[in-house]
Amino acid sequence: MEATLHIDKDLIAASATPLVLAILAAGESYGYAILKRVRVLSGGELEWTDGMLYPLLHRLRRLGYVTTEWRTSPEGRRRQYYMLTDDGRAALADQQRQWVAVTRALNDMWPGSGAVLTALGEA
Amino acid sequence: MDSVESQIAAWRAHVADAPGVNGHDIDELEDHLRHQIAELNAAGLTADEGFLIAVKRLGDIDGLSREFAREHSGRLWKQLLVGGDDEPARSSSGWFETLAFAVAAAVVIQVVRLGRLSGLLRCSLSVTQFLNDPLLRCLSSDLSGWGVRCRPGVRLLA
Repeated sequence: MEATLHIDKDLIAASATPLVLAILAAGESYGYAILKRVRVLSGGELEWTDGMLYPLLHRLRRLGYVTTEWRTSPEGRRRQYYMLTDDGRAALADQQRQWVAVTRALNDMWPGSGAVLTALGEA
Repeated sequence: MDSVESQIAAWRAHVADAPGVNGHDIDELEDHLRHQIAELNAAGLTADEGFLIAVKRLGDIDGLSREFAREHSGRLWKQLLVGGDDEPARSSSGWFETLAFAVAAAVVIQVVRLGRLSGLLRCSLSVTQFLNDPLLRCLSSDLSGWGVRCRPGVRLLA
């Protein structure tokens, strides 16, 4: 099998919240679509255990970062949609500042890896 | 009820036994499962194969149950009060072994054909892997060679 980048599970967990908040900042969504977006955004390198997304989403709801609404999907199934709240936007902005600070520090130590900050819009 | 519908019904019943998971959670997980199965079917897998891989990607039920319980500790407490047991009995009625046995033969037969599916499934499957290990954990054993690159149990709650 080809070698794939293994991202440490702590890093996966730490990046999960800002990723989900950022995805919801682009518009309301639901579990499966969020997960697909994560796969695309990370080029398949952030592989989540699918079901674990839901306790995370429920936590974001408890924190007031998202609101939820059950609707009927186009396939006729019950589906819970998640919408970012103003608190969620503020939390995302705070997370972005934290990640930029961390990646900037790492970037300074790793010349030539400027793509990290470019990806965060901080080039 | 066709085969995959009865498999999903059996899966629902199994998940319903897990502490910390309520009916809404199961509805949400089932919507996810059906989405994934449909996508795998569209990629050329049979309904049974799609079901197996979708269940695997969802993660093992014990791990999921723990995460739901962590987030919904109040809910778990109520369940414990009703159940009166620290370790609510898990159904090990063998539904999954039965299910795995029923589909394993079909899966093995398909392996050669699936080998042509542009790397979606890339290795042979050990039937004993399905039969030896009870419950969903048997699917948590390494199916990574199938192109199912999920890491079972990776928690997303920091």
